[in-house]
Amino acid sequence: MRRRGNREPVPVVLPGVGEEFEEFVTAGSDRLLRLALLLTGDRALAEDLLQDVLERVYVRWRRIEDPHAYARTALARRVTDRWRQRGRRPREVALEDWHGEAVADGAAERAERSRVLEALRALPPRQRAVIVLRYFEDWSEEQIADQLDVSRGTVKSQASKGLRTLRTLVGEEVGARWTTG
Amino acid sequence: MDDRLSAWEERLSRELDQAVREVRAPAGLAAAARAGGRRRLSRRRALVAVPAVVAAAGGAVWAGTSGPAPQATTPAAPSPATPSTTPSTAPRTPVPPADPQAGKPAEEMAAVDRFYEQYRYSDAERLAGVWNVDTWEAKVKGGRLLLSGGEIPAAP
Repeated sequence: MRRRGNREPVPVVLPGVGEEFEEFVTAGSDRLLRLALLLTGDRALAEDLLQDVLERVYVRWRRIEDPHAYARTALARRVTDRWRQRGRRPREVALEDWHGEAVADGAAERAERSRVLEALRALPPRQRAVIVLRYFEDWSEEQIADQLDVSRGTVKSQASKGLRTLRTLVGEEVGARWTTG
Repeated sequence: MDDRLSAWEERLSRELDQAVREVRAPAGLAAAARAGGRRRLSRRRALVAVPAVVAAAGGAVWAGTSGPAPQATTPAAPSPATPSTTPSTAPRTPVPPADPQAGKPAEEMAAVDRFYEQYRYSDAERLAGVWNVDTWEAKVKGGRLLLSGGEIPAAP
């Protein structure tokens, strides 16, 4: 083909994939973006990563049994691999940037929530990933270990350290309130 | 330890959920992802096809003399520069009207496409750090450099 000069991408259409893929993205992308956001702490990075993962899903569509599970795992792996490779920490961003629209709750709750997110951001990368997968995605320890390719012991210790740090950073009063419900 | 969550953990779970509840994915994500997926497939297929093409054409494919391949008996007009972008078989999947766009101009998408021919996402991250831009901008900037014959200051 002649793609070297002026490269107009040659469309490659996977027959039958379009509608299903569209449905999958429509149904799942909000939730996936939220996961990416908690994992990275950066809206732009999260969107970029999500698009990258969705492109991979599209390419492998016919071979994937559960695209939602596949995308979650791919996202988590890409984030932890990236951290593993570079030891890179996500950039700090203002919390307001996360939201496309105003959050309709009180200032006190928002302040408390922002404290939790700040604390989450302060965690070392893998601890944060384990916390997010465990408490946002509701994955079991076994599932996390399996999908992130680490031992269950590692997941336990990372979760335990992460929780301890979060408790400290969130503050005792908030922690006490949470514990009493 | 056990799989039961303490009150604190349950609250944490709820807080995380609440914190991102209002976040919505951009509207054109499906189209952009599909367009990106297609580009990946195109690249992959082009890579797979290259050895066969080279072998079949005896290495003279790129010489510019190959002209209109022996496709039709009537060499109608000097074939316009839109050879394979419009597949003759009608696409079976519904292609949205503004497919490659997710708020990103075609020029940017082409630059990113060019970038991905040599580099990967992790390179974009590295360059983003070097150029002090976000990852997307790094891909666009890098792709533009490559398209204009320049070089990116980092090996793939």
